[in-house]
Amino acid sequence: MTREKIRSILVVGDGIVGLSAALAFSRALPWVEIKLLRRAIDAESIADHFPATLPTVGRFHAAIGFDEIDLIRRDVAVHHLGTRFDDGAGGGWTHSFGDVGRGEGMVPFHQIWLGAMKDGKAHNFDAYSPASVVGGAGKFVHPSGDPQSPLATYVYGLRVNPGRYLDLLEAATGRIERIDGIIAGIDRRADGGVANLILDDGRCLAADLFVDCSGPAAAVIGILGASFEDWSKAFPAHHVANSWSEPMPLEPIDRITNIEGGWRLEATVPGATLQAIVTTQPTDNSTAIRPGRRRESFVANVLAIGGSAVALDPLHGANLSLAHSAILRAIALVPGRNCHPLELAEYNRLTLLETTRARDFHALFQMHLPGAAAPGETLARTLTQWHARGRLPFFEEELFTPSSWMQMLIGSGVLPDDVAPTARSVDPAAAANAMVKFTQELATLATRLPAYPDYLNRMKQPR
Amino acid sequence: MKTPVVILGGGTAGWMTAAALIRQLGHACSVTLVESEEIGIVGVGEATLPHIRAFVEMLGLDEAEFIAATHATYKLGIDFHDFGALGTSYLHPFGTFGTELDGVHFHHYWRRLAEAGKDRSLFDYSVANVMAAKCRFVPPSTDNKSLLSTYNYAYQFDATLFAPYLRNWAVERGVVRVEARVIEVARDGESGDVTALVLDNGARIEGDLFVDCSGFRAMLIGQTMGAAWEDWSHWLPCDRAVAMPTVSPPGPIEPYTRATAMTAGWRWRIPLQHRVGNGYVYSSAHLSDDQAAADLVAAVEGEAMADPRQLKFRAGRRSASWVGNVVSIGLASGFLEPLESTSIYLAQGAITQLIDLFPIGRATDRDRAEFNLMVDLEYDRIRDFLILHYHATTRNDSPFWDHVRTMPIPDSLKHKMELWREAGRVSKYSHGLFLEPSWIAVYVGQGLLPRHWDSRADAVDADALAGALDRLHGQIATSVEGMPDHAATLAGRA
Repeated sequence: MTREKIRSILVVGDGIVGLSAALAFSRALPWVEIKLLRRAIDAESIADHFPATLPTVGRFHAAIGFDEIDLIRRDVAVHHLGTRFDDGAGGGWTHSFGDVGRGEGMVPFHQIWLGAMKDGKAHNFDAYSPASVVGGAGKFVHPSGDPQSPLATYVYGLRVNPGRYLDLLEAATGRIERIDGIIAGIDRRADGGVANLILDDGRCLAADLFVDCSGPAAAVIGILGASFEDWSKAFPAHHVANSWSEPMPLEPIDRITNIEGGWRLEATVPGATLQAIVTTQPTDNSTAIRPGRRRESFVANVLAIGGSAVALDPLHGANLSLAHSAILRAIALVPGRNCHPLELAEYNRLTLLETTRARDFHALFQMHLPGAAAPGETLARTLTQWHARGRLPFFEEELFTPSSWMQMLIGSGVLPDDVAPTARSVDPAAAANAMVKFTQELATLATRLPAYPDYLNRMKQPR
Repeated sequence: MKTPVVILGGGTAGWMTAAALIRQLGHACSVTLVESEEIGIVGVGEATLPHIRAFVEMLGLDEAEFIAATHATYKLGIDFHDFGALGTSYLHPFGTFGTELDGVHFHHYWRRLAEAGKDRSLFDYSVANVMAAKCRFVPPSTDNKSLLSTYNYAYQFDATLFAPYLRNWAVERGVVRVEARVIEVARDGESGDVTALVLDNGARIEGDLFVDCSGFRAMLIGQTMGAAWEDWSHWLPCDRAVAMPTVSPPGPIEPYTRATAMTAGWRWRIPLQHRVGNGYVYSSAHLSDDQAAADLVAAVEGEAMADPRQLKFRAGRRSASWVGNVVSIGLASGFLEPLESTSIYLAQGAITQLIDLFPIGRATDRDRAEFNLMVDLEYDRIRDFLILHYHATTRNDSPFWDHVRTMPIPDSLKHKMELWREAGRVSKYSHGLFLEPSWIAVYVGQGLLPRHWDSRADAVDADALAGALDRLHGQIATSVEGMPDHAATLAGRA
């Protein structure tokens, strides 16, 4: 028995998220008629306006047919190895992508490092991160295929120039019909879903599936009344002011600096440098983002993706990556035309798991701000287990890797009281030697690499 | 100072725990194991799951030596007969079905072709199944692009040899073995923690942490600490087994376990190197012990090597597997019948968690809570998976099958089954036992076909798809044809 397939999709919102969704759906579901309702996306939609992505971007770009080399050659994107957190007083640390250090048999590196740290025999954790050392030297290289190399487990994301990236998405979705209009209301179906979007000039837009990529305005799912879970209390710093300026030299590492009541984020992409001020109090030109999510982002035949579904502060790059992940999940679970409740429930279950942990990761960084709410249950479990012995409990659908979690915990000054008992099998002297050797290996490697702009120029040469 | 750990019980779980602790925490703890020859062991699980290989590797055991010492054979899966309906069968493989195409899982394409009347079985696209059918075995390829990397294997071994093998290994490395019976459990008046085991030889074994591997008696976790038992017999009514080894028949050795559904339960057949293990797992509410023994004797092939031996059990688990300073591992912690060979896996999983959460100083609530959470998750999922084998059936030929076919099932399983039936989706998780291919195997094997499939599977041209599946089928057949017999591989490794 063939069931009815989804035949038409209306994507609402033509920002980065909306175009990404339209492109991904059109490639994966070629029989579906896709239309785009144009709609300007509010400035507080982080996923549509910020340049950073996590290393998971590679998977999404493969799905929409975007080629990294092409993005580099067109000066749309540059590589992203991590973020430097500058305390504003000469100190700091780096959260970078990929593994840190080398374990010893069954003992993971961070346990060895914790032991050495307690003995006063270790550098900062990031000194053992290949991505941090390479990126910190202003360099970049693609990961090595040699499993023995420290660069074998190293990964990277991309930062994009949002305007140019949007242009590229516009071009790639050129065949998709655009509609101009303002939503005035909806015609409801008997099951609570949407039969038609009604525009202010009286036109009706029907579709089997409506994908709401309108950002925090939540132009469609908001009307359906899917309740919004407010996370403001976990994110005291949620006033964001962006300014773009002439580009600084390109580096593979972004910078976040402590300022009064928050942080200043600086990221350079081809053609421009972004400065974003994220603070607990409003500043000049700032807008308040509303951190939170819809517990159900797929309701009847309305799927919310991007700021209409979940919003976090812009500091760690989760927003666009969560949108990518949601798009791929919706495609992988693509329901029939009737959007059976069980299929939606599975989508919502997995999405909830993922957004919970992305929230935890972002909230960890803000939890020491005055007025921050106590950590939720899942973050508390991570903190408890980490405090006890440097252990990270497992969660399904984690967006951030265990390595990222460790770096963020250690960087934020959350150190375990003790090492895991298994780690005491490692001989401290031998471990200290191995750690010194590893840093030397990394230093030598970094010296040999070309400066990042040279590496980029080489990539841009015609082959 | 090393933490003194005392393990009560020298069965499979006890010696696995002792060996793992001394291997990974020998620098941090001393291990004493108290066992009594008089008590004897249940010797659960002659058949294992592929995870056992990680355990063997973690201890650093030589696989060939291990296989020789336990008279082990290789296992590619479990061959189920008469479960979904009388006269049907399928082998639940340690492996995957076909290959993913454009991000769409293989079974959706298969389902589409099946609808069009292309009636080749899904199981024909699993390398493990084709190998099993021809009694072939070679270890899988480590090149994950190779078709021959799509299966995995476990062992079928003599459980009465496994524990002694681990005992020798562990005692050589410093585990202290005490042969005695426990006559009293001494406890701290204030905390209620166990402080010592008082033995019938007058000795007193003190410790900071006690691991209860005393089997169904649950002497420490149950009798002493009073951890409640959560009973699952309303979902898994089999509560008895009768076991009887037989002489190996001439001919090839099957690289799989067979499970044949019977009037009031099911019968196992596990081929080892030197004999065949047989047993009938049944519900005492539906069958008498004598009748079960008679049915087993009538059903086995080959000459019996011993009289039938009875075992009693109950499906369920402790509401908490770690209470105070007592951690229960193995049957003391819970029991799920051996339909999917999960007993040793469950013990292994608990051991991994114990090592991960080994107390620093006194055991804390946070560590106990984490341990119990992880143990419960495993039990609950496996429970659902086992219930599926009974519930997904059209059998109506006995009161037992009428009961399991019509009984209420846990909501968690109900949702999984409905999602599968509607859309061919397996509720997703990545941590734990029985991932997507296992659920698909049992669903399809027991006649539960999804009504619909992923609409992307329709995007491929029907003839091209049929051609691709033919080629895949051919590749599998050719690859397996070139493999040596299971028996030959065993002989070559011995």
